[in-house]
Amino acid sequence: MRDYIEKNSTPATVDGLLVPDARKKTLKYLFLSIGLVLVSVSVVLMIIGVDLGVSITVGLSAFNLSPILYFLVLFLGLWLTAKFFTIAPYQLRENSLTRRSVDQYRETVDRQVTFFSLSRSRLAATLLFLTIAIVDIHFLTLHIGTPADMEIGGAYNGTGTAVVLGGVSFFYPVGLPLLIAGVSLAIYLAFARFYGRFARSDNFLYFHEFRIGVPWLTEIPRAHLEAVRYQNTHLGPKVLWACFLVPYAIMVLQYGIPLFNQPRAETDTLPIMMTLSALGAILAIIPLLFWPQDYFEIASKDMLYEMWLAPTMNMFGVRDQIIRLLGFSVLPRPERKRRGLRRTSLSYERTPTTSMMSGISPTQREFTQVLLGAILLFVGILGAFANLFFGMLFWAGAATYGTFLLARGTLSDFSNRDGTKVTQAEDGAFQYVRRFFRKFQFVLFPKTNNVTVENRARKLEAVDIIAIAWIVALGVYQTVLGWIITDITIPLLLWEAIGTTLVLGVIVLFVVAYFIVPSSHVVVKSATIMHAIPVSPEGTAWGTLRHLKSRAKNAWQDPASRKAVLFRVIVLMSIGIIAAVVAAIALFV
Amino acid sequence: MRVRRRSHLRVKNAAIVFVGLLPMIALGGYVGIIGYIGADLTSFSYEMKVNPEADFAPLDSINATRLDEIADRLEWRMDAWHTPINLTIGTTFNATTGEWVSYDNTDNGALWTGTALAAECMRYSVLADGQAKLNSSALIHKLVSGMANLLRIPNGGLGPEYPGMLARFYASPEMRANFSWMFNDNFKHFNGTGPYSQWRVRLYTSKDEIGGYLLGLAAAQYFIKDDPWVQGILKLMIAQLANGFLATFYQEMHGDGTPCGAQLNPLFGSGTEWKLLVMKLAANAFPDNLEYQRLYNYYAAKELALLNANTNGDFNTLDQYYGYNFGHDVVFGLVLAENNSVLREKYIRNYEKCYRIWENHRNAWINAIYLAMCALRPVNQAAYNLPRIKWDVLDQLWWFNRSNWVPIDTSYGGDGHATNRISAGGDWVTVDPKIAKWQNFFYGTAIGSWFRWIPEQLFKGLLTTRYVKAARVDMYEVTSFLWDRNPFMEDGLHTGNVYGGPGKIDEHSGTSFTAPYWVLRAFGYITATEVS
Repeated sequence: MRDYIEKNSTPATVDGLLVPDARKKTLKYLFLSIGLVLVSVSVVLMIIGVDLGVSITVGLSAFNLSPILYFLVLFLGLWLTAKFFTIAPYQLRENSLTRRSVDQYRETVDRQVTFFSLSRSRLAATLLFLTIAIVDIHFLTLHIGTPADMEIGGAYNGTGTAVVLGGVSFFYPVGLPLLIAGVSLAIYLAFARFYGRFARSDNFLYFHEFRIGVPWLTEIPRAHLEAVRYQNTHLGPKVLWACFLVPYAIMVLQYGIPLFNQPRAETDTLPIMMTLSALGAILAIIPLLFWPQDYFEIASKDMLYEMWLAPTMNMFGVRDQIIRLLGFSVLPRPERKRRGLRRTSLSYERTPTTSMMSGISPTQREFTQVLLGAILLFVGILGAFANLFFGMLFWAGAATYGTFLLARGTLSDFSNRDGTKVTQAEDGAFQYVRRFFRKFQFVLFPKTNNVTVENRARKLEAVDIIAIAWIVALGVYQTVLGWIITDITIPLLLWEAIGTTLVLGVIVLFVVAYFIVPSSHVVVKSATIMHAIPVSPEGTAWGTLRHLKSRAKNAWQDPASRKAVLFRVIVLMSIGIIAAVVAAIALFV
Repeated sequence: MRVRRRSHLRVKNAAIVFVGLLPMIALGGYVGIIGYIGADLTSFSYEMKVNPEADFAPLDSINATRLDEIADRLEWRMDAWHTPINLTIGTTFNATTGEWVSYDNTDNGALWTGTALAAECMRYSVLADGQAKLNSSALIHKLVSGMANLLRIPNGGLGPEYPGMLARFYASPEMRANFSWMFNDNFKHFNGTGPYSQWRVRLYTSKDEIGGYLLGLAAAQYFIKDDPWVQGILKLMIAQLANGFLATFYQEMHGDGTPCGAQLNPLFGSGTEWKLLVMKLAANAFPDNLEYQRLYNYYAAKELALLNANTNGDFNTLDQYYGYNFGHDVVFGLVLAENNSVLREKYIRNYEKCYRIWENHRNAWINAIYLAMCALRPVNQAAYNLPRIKWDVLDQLWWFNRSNWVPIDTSYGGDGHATNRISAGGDWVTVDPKIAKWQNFFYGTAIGSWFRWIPEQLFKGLLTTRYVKAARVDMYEVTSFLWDRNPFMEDGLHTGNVYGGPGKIDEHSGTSFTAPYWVLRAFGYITATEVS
């Protein structure tokens, strides 16, 4: 590998690194061949059903391990096959195995930062899950069967049977999910922790990760950078934690709380453990959703580079250096104030060529998403614990999505006073900086074609599309079905039907206000990227709920906005109408 | 670092989602294979159609008057010999002298008493005023009292102010001689509460018990409207049960104050009829308490219970067939309790979509319940041939007479006397060949070992011999209720396990006959003198 190094590369030689390389090509085909052989062997073994004679006894049944071995070989084969598609075909290194030495780098570095990455929020959640699960095992036991059964999990200890008569101890529905989550997270943590060395030279950025003892190096030519985003407010797939933890916690509380003070119970061990487990899950939501790790994306014309990291020691110092290394001209670290209090405004490396963009409030305040989240969570809790308004499928979705919106809104819709800075340099470089207490979001476009402030509908993530469709469809469905079977001559039932309709109306109104009616965005266009960042327009620091009518009117008058708004309105109405029609028909088929 | 080519983002994202979903896909595949095995193993029950012309007694040979006599005789014996503590129970007699010897143990006091009460309520509804009706009323009072005690004894009293724990059985100290087993140590046995602290209750109550109990309540509420005492005590029972379930989130409690596992919340979306029935009974009993009606509406519309209430799957055909019986109790109870014709029709239609499961089972109780549902429709719109189903029920009932199995005891039919399939020959002895096929899969292949726990631990009857033709009454074993037995497993080769041992006759209450019979009478399919 040593002969790859060409010190002091010029842009011409950088481009030369992207020329297909014969050795890489050979390597790719080697992986493909070995992978396909392993896949074929495993499939043949599975079809023939060769018994390797290895088995394990779980409970009362023996499980032959041969199929598991075949599956492992299959997955290994698939992984190797996938390498054919992921190994870069050129000399530029992307996740290439290298030695740890800085000598590996193509040029002499002028800036570097080393750090150890281990997510403390994930670690806290892991410890919480595992602690509760172990306590659950201790108090609820692993018993399976009736109180007379002893074969699996030992003797019954008087803490109840779950799921079905003679079923399992409450550990299985209550503690086991947390144990699985804790163990999975611990395994993930073990693989996700790494020593990192990020460096910069004249022409390259170097990202060197040492994961489970293996160093991987990725080089990014600086000339190719088109956009950089660095933040600790990105949630990504963390929505899955809400999908698991929120319904879990609510259901455990639904079953657990009524068990306190049962007439014949000698102890409240079971309800205490259920409540504790549910509260533990709720508590874990805080680090997992509200304290995401740092995340950066670097986009070039052709490639997208992403990484999660969580510097554990000297976190602010490491962030400072990463930010400088990535090319931002801002110090994200709040400066120390007396008695340890932090100053919330930002320091800038001011240059005479940089100017603030006008029309954007330096203080971001957007309450709509947080309010919608709170409403959904509240309605979900009402459904779950008071049997009010909406049933299970709705409340599970509403409470889950509501929690997610609360987290995302808190992370992305606010800044400190004067905490939002949008700047554009004379050379076209664009920079967006937002800081909210310890949360930050930085966006950098070294070269831009055009930067404007315009009204446009918010970008919908997959989770938004699924959740809104789910909530609107089920909300309308349940509301219509409720009206059909309600005897409206009975006031209580009539008021419940009216109340359900009103609550649904409020939810839809908030959805429309936040996701459909256009709001202010800074729109940055570079050679191949168009990126829109929601901002608070100057003078309206209280979010999209205010001036909703006038904003809707303005959107209608703008042909481009009207088309986008109409599309979303039509989709939303279609979901509602289909749900209503299906509900009306459902009773009669 | 994650490195992706921007032009491939969609493909790579899709690949990542796919990889992320792999565990769920694998689990889904595993469950799918289990579903396939189940579907394959149950397929036999759809293939061997009932053949009335070949297998049923001609309709004109079935004597309605004789059926009526049998029903009356069995009700009389129920009153005289099977309700010593107002709960139905099997009884043992001396085979030589005919004298009473003992009462049997039972784990299903609530279930069979509820079923017997339902049968008696239907009988009451068709009897003209007179001594027979008075006798029927007295028996109903006995059974209702017994069922009330199943709530009263474990909780210390009857009414909404007491907890709602339901017992399987009970015994007072005075009954110790006849029910000594209730005073033995057993994880199901506990003392009563408050004034009943010296009584014994059998707990760890299953859904079987709750299902039968709810049917009894629904039938009494529907058919015995003219008896203030019955309606009064029913209100107390229903309120106690409903409030109890609301207080425990529909979990049935065990004697140690913890859930026993039986619960009425739908599991994976099925079984929504349970909560509906509890709340409908309460709403009917307390029309001024609008909270019950509100909750019923909530369950029906907001929890979408009405969409799949009264539906079922066919896995119980393979194992735990008894689940169909108490499941049907709830199905029938809900249809009786529902007074909104649109909702009732919805529940019937839901049920009808699943009825094909039992179409060839020759199960007189299930068939009778379907007939009852169809009779409750304002317009006859049955998807199945009702006259054929009625004939099926009548043929099975007639076999009680043809095999001299009245009363239902071990001296006439049943143990040692039942018709066995081998002697019947022909297609009676055809065994479903797919059982051997899957036996080989579970125990002859490596991948099958990953599914072996299903027949070994989950559905232990999965690989048990099943004949493809449903049994006739004379092939069944003497038992509390024939119709909770798997008709494809009854082979007539019974060994004669009789309570008390040799020289004894074990007699069960006649509910196996009376329950389907009185359905036919109450819903106008037959009369005391006419079956056609």
